[in-house]
Amino acid sequence: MTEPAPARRIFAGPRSPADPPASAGQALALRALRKTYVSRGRPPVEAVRGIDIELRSGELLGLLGPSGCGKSTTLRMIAGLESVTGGDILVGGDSVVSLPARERNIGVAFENYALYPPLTVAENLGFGLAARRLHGAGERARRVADMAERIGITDLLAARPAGLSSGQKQRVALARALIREPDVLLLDEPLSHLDAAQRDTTRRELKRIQRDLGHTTILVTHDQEEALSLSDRIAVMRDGVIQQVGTAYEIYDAPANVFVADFVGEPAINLLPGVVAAGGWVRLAGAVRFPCPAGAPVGRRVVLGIRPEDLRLTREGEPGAGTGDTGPGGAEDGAVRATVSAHEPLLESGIATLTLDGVTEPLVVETGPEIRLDRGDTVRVTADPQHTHVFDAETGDALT
Amino acid sequence: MTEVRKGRTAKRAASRAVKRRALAIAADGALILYFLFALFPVVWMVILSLKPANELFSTYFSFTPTLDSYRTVLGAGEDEGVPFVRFFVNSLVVSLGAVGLSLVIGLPAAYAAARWRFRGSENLMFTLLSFRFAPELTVIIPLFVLYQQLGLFDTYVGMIWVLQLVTLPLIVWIMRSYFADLSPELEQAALLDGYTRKQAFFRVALPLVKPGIAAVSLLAFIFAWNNFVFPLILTSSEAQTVTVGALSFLGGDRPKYNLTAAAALVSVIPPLLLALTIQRYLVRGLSFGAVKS
Repeated sequence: MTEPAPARRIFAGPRSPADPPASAGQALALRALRKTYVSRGRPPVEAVRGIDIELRSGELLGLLGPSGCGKSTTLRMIAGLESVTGGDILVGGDSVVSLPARERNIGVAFENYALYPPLTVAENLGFGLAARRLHGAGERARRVADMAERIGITDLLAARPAGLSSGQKQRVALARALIREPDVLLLDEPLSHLDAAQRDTTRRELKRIQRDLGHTTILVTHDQEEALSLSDRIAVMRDGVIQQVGTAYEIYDAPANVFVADFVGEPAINLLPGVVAAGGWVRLAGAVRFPCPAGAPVGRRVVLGIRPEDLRLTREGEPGAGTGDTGPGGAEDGAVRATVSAHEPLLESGIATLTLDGVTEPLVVETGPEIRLDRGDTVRVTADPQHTHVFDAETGDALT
Repeated sequence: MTEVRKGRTAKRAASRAVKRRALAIAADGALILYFLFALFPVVWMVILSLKPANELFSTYFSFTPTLDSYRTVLGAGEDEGVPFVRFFVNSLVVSLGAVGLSLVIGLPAAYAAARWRFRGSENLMFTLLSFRFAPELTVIIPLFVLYQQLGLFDTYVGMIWVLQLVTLPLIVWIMRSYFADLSPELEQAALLDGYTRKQAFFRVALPLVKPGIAAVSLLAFIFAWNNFVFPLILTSSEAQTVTVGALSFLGGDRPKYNLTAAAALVSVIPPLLLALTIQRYLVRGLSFGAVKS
């Protein structure tokens, strides 16, 4: 199956509720989870400031945020590798917060794979099983072979980690995390060390394996593409606080604040300061105005967010560009006149950087592949009111 | 025109080559000189140890080589009243004992210092290091009194204990950087698999630092073996080691330099043998661990 070329980025899309996973995982809940690092002589660092997340059994949640936002600390607290300052962690309804890591039954695929160099792949997988002494050597070998089969690493079993590619190491690390049949699976930046080609195949593999085995999974990543394509839901995190939890579409179409809007989406959303004007407009400067979504209070200072692909660009004088010019830069049909300052034609689309009269921020617009623009060209830009976002200029929170 | 230029370039190249060659020869010459300078005492020792007693003070190089000195030193020849074999065994016991004890204490300490910062951890490490740069002579007199009082004077236990000042800091400091270089995620993965912290240390971390253990053990052994001040002051006969023992031949009515030389050469053997057996770990071991951090 090839991924469809989606109109909106690369979402695999949320799984429909009618298609529940064959569940092996337990529900996971984080309740007001906090972590504060205290070191003498320095102010305490609040890495995680009371987060609440609920995962259904078998769900894959992407924990997305910039580095230093506390997502790795959260993952390590769930795994039991980091002590908890406050709050609770429930696996299958039971608190595990007071249990040591070895009694939590949580599998982690570490970012740097954490494969034991002197052992072969098979021994690495068996090493994890041997700890609990639940199985005899024969049973262990059977389970290793079985897991290798499922992950597709049977031909690697005799190899040592040093001889594997990053993609292969990632799959072995995943097999190692899964072989103990954990209640919850944690993936730490699983694709970050892979090159572009491996990233695509490994991402698809990860998705397939997680769906087949049905593990409740948290995927920690700073890479939005990874989060958007793999997750059922995404939690966007910043400075130890969850900013928004939702499906990829919810996050993308209705960002809860400026941070989420800015962090998710490539190329990044245009964020332009303005004032809500009567008649459903946000005025940026002079006559430059864009349609405002319904519900924003008139007169409020806001930040207007428009994604580059939600803007339509036409050449001056072309049909559909609007004829009833009412002033410099403004038009009755909502078209705004702009000057091209740069245009990067890409394969399937292009990215134009425009200048608006009296506005310091540049406006980035995604263009169709057929458009050729030169620096200094005058164009018209229209925005769909359905796809513009307004945020409070003070708090950054979404107003509609 | 071009011919001339070509000729000039060739000439210049040739003179450069000559200059380079001359430099290389000069460097080689300097190295050989240094080599002779550094090796001469060893050669002199070998010659001394092979000389018969009556030709000991001759300054020319022709003499009839004899192994008599070695026989005497090893107790097979005439009795000089110096139990050198015993000293040799003492040296082995206290050096191996000191290294062994330091490994038992030092490896977990190094691991803890690499993995956790606890209150006073840096001070503790610094104190440990200060044992190395503080001259032994600053502590030797109080130690002598203490050892007399505690009955540790001239005992194996006493020697092994005091040699911890030499071996323990070395092992802790070098092994700490080895452990710090290991990815903590390896042990964390083991913890998640159901291993205890202790098992993670023994089954995951320790096997990966074997080259470091080999290198640092050798180094510690050599330092312990070569230590002179501690056995000089803190032993008399029972636990005396070769470094002090070899000098016993110089006492008495006339100094027997040939015997001292033979004794010294014999006592070089164990560190040398050890170094040869584990030399494949040495370069990797020492450059990997000690230099960093």
